[in-house]
Amino acid sequence: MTLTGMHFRHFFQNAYVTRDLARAEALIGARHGIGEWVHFEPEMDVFTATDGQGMAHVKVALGWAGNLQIELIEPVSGNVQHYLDRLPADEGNASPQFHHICMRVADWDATMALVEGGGWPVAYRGGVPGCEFVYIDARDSLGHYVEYMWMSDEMWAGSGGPAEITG
Amino acid sequence: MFLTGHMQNAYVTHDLDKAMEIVADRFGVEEFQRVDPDMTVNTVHGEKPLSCRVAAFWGGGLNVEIIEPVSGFVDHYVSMLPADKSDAVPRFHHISLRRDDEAAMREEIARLGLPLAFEGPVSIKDDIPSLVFVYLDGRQSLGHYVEFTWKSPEGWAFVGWPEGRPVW
Repeated sequence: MTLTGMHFRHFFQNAYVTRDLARAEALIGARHGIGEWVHFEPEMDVFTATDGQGMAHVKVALGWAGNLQIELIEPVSGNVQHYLDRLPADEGNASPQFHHICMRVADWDATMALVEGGGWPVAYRGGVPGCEFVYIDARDSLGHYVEYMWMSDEMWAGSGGPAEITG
Repeated sequence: MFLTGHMQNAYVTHDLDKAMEIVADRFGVEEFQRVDPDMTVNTVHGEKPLSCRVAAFWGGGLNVEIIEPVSGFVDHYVSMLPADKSDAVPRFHHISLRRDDEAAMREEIARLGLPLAFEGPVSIKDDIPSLVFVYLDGRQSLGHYVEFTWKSPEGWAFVGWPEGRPVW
């Protein structure tokens, strides 16, 4: 299979960045009915195209609406320029700003081979135990980043992921 | 849950032909469904004409739509376009949520309380199956617009709803 054949397969997430995670959650939760958010605050060793290898610290909230996952990300410090670039100029504005879509993949090594073989610009790559992810810089073709993510079945189930999205 | 039924991410562009070329080249899209709706829509200012050019394709269970506003009541599309009119790269504009009960959809929209951008079509020149769309301005809470849409079974078939794809 070529990368082009799998671009949007197993899409499951629209992701947003915000200056204030708690306020963004309140904006979406109140209006759009996502009552339960899963929170985590990873500090990860990552690669970014802008800053190279280094640590990234972000706050994240995940909520589900049917089979659509909403991810909210508040960049905190480190290699997070690709998030900061999408935030509004007004520092008091906590409204979520669309940042990327995400697809779950089943074979991480095959995915990375296709990314690298296809000459796709990698903007951000990292992982935590049970999860690997890569952001493709698709700003010049789709106006935003495109993420591919491998996640163990156990972690997927724990995040509330629907069983039918297998990657 | 208002965000259930998600079926589409939609984009706007200054130039649909160039945008299709960009997306086809980068993402290997072999075929787009094309329509050029010329219609009348309802707005808070009354009925208005709206003309646009639309291309769409399915990537798995996700429908991707690209819209070039042409004339009439298109400010809600234009507001998400880049200032540079030579920039044809698609820009994210809205998500679309499928509903199968129009009356329940309208009750839900009323409860949601987001500002109406426009809805329709009141009339449309194209020969297409029955459908209703309601664009709400969700920029304050989601950073973009939100579309609710009801279609007849023929309407869903017309847009190529993938066989066996549930409404989530």
